[in-house]
Amino acid sequence: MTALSLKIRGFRGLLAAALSGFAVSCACAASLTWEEAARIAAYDKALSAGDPAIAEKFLKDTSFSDWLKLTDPVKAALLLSKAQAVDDLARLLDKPWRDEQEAELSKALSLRIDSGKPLVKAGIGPVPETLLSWMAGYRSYSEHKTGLVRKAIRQFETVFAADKTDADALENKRSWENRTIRERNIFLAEFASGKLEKLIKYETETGKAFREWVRNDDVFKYLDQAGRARQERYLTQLAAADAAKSKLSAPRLDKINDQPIEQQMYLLGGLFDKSKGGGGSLLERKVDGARQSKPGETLSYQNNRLLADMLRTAIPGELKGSAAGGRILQFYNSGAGPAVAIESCQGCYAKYEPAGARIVLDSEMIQQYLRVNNLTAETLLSDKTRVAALAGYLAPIFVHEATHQMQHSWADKAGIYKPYVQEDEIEANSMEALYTLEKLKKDPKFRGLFSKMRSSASYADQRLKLAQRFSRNPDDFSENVRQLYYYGLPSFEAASSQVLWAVSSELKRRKGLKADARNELEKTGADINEAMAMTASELISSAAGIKTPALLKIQEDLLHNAVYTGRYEDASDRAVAMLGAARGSGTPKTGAVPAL
Amino acid sequence: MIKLLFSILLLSGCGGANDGAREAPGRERPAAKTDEKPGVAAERFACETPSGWEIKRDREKEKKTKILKLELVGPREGNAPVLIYAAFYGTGNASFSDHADFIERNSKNILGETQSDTEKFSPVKETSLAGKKTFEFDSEIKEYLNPESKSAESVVIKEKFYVIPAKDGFFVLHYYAPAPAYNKYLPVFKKLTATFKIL
Repeated sequence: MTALSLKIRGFRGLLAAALSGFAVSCACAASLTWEEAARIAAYDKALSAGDPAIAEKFLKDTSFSDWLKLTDPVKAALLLSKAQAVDDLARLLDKPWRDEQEAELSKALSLRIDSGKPLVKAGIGPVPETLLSWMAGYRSYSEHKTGLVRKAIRQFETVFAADKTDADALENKRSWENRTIRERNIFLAEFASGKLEKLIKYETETGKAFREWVRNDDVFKYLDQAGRARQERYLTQLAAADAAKSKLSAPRLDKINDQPIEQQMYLLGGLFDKSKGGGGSLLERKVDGARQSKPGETLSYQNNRLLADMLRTAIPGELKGSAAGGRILQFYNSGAGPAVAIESCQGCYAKYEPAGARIVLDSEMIQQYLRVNNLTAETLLSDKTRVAALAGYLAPIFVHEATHQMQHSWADKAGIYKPYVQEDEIEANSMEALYTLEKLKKDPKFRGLFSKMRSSASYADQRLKLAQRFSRNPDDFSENVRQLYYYGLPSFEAASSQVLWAVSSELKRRKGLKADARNELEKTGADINEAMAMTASELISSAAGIKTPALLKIQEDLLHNAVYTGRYEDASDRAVAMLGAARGSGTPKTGAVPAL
Repeated sequence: MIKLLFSILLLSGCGGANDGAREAPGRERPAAKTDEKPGVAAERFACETPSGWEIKRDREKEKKTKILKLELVGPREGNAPVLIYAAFYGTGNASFSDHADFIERNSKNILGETQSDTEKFSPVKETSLAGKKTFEFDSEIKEYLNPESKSAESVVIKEKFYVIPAKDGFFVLHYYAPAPAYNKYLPVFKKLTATFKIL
């Protein structure tokens, strides 16, 4: 303990603060000296006040924190979480932020300042305006930055134009100030989405000036990701309709112009089908890609099930012959094959559902494929070659989701809790990009299909762009994933810190409970299986309802994080090595192709 | 006009942050004090770096990949970062067989085109940098922000590359910025390239 004692001299200021009315409660631990307990208390007090300088100091004081992890892991986890949270907030706000980044800053702050987050115990949140008090106490930001933060936390005065003397406005303001940033953003997103839906339902205009207004109107800056996707789709439809209508005669135009957009797209699609052009022009593909499906182009529930069964055989056939595909097949060879389902994915192209161990492929993505390729459900399902072509189209995103399944399988076998983090997406995106690159090189049909589809289906262009970014520099790819594609998703370090804080705080709280309250909790709380299946935010918000052994297990897992970081590093290295091998060698050897 | 303060930074033995650690970002935060001394690893290049930018370097990874890389992270603009990379790719590195491979993969799109609806690549031209023959080219690419989502939300990324062949590998100086911020921070990159020295 000599090294620790020598460092006490540097903490005189902290010790004085600690002794001036702050209970040095952990001196009750039999193994702690008075000095050690005081040092812990000093750190605790400063971190609880949100002091970023002390947070940075604590994080660099690794000899102390390593000692504390052994001596009092609960306390170590609490202090570490608080320090990481405060340091992370300070770094976030210290960066230059421009006006155009308001939504991004709002999202970043909403992830950090909310009920149940570590910053609450540092005096920041869940009321968003507490951030302003922290800034006044610990930072001297410019008027511009302070103003931007006020907008990002959706302070009442920055969102609503209200008469300050109006009683209703005052009541609304009080109600607003009780909402977290996340809740405020949900409210505003719903409001913006409602306005957008009204346009889509009733507006008939499609011209350039109107499109500019839809893109730039102030209210739409509050749209959430799904809302922005809807806005982008609407803009795509407007542009496609406008371009197509420019080719029409006046009488035909009259029948279309007074219709809302979905009806305009439907009518324009019908006009192309009857034309002598025979389909396949770029403009027709753009219209077909952007409009809704007609009867015959849609997949019924029975069609979806039949097609899903056919794809379970067809997709492995497409994966064979590539290194990335071979790795997926090897995983399924070991008996872990997923169910494949076709359903609406609610804004995504595909997802892996751990509960059912199934990969869901989006029905709308498949229906768009049918429209652009002039197929109906009947012509697709009656022709195995066409199903194989569709399987080739879907294979990249399947590889992505299958990689997520492999991640879950690894965690299940290791018996450890696994939060969803950036590192998961680095691996899945690398595998998907690698697969796409290999197929583009070796399979002319795959290359031709994606080359054709990229201008009418964002899905196709997104697959190509991802593969391209990976090919351009695999060494930089993980940084692209973190900084561009998944900026809002926490890293493993951030997520584990937040979970650790929530779990450790709860364990500490329970020590003060009466026996009957503790017993009730152990009877009714979520058990270890339920807890291990929770996402990080579910765990954080429901830690109080989880049984103690489950919390202890999760704490143990996350305090010893080398298991996770080692795997993430291996995954990253492997993808780069596989790319090198694929670029230099021929077809890798794989085993027999199993049906899924 | 942007006022910039520069400090000399040597790769391998640099006067920058601790290995793998992040430097204090932003002008509104006191700069992190550094006490790293010149290291014993072979020094390959030197350059000036802008103050206020985050400097990242992973020495452990460099040993595995044979890629010595300095990543400078500037401000975020329009949902994308501004980045500058200064790197040396040694012979046998993990990512590229040689400088020609790097140029081939970065001066065209994935289908081998130099132009499409959403991308533009300039011709590769020969120039000189740090007294050496250098290849220079640019790209402008629409990148999607959410590749798994149906949201077509995107940002146009502009990039500039300088590739300098060497006997035992090649150097790359790479500037990456969202289009609206490209010209604003280009002087920062130009200052770095003007002070770039091969050791």
